[in-house]
Amino acid sequence: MKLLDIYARKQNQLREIERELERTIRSDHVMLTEASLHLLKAGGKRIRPVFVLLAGDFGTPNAEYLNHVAVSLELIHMASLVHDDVIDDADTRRGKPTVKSKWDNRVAMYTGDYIFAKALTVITRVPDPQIHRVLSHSMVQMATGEMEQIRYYYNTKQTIRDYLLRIRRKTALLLAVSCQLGAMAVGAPGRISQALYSFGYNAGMAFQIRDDVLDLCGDERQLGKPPGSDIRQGNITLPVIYSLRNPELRDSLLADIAMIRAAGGNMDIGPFLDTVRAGGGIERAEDLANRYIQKAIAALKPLPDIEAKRNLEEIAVFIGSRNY
Amino acid sequence: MISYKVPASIQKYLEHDLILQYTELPKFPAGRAGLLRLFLQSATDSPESLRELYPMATSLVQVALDTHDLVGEEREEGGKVGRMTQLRVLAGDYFSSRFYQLLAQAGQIDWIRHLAHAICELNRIKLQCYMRMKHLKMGAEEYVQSMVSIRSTLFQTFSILFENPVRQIWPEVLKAYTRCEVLADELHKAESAKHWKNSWSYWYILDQQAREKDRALLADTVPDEERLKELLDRFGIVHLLRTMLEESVRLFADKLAALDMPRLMPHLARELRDAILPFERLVNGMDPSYCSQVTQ
Repeated sequence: MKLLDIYARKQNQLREIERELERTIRSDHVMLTEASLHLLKAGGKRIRPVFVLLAGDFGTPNAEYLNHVAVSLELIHMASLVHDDVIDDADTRRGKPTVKSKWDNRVAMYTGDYIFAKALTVITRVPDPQIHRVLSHSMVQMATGEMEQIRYYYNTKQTIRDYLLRIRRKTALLLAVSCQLGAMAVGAPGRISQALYSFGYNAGMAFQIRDDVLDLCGDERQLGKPPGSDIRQGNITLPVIYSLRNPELRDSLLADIAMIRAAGGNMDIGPFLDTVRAGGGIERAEDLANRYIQKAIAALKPLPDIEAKRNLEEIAVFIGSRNY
Repeated sequence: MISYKVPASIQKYLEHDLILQYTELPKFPAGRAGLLRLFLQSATDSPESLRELYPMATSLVQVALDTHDLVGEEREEGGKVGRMTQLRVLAGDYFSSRFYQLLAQAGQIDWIRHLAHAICELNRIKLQCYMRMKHLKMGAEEYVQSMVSIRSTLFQTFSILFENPVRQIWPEVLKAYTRCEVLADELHKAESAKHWKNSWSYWYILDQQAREKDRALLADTVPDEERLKELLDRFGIVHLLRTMLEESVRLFADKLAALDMPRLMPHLARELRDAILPFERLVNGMDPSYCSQVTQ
């Protein structure tokens, strides 16, 4: 089964989620609605809602709670993107102008805060206190991770462990709790929600590593933003860390990174990208991503053999090979 | 003066080393938090733990949202967004997540929802206010009212916890207190060019159809201190603000006098009455350090 088939299988629920997303962010303030809808209409993979829905197949069906969890997690993700674009000073996302570039930084801040609050109004329709403990704990970890990332900007001494801890908080946690909360919302047993958390976590790690590889290897049409955006921001990703370990490339890369830093990212980074692409770091990063995919698939083993399990496995395989 | 000590459990969030290193934070709303705690103690049967939790969580999210007000269009050399801006974005998000966690850990799901609705409304007000300022359409009195709304909307949510007549009185007392707070801060802003842009005096002078050369001064982000002082003196800004504060203090005192809370204990009544003192001292020109006191 292809990824599109999985989306097709859940299309009624996903359509309802899409409608609910739009209903939720509408405000009687025109600009707040426009800015929020701008991001929503730019699309996205909706991977978090899909994870919630598939995890929801492992318990007693509860479409209402699943919808609330899926909508709120997507809104939390959207709010973080609006603010990330201010942090990264990004002009485009998914090929469209960001909220901060179409309006300005302050509008982006208010829009992000508004969307986040809307997410809380939705998730609180689910009365299970444990769901809120899990989600709020993850959000604190994500916010802490984003701040900690500042310490590692242009830090060429960071270790692979530093990088993995960072992407765990940046990406893997929200995907992990998407799976976990989907299962919890339908009353699945703890061992099931834990297995799904582990699946989401490992798939999320692979997703971010793949994202970081694509940032170095993809083109602007694929990425919806210029390649090399990470290093321009000072974000040293796994392929670069691997390449820095190569004694033949290290000095050249350190010099390139120092120049990029001095130029505030505003320079031709073609030579830097060529060095990283040729240095074996990409392949090693892809290898690690594949190992995370295998771990994600292994995490599914204890789950009952239903279609959702096979779908999750297929999504994991897709994450490992995606090129957009 | 209302005493409110920022609990150690949230002080540590506010003192995260990266935040301290890169940015200053907005004032902690200690006065409003203290006022809310007094009302919760006096007029509800809420457990002591919640009387502490509600002001704490509300103040934390107020600081989160106010921190995001500090995000502007600052650029570092080379045109990049600076660390200070990045940390302001991240610090606000971090405080918001802690606000959610504080209430979630206590199982206060209804209050997460009530405050989330208030946050939506607050952002609507903030955006409206920001756009009015950006297009120079803000009026002086409209500015004061907007600032009072921005500071009181979250705290006002707690009306539903009270029974009448306190339920009706709480928003009135809160707004009267907040108006004093806003005007006291405006007096402080009128002392220095650094905080003058978009202050009450800025909008007041713009309202008064300022002369051409005054308008040039209004356009400066940080105008020359001496020229600004001359302008403020010519418009009698400090006197006007003191008069407005005096009226607001009287209104606040009237609201307090009308309070007849059945369970109001003498020491709480005294503390409420004392809330007025720093503003009275400011009106009389006796205590210019008000602004730093309320943040302790």
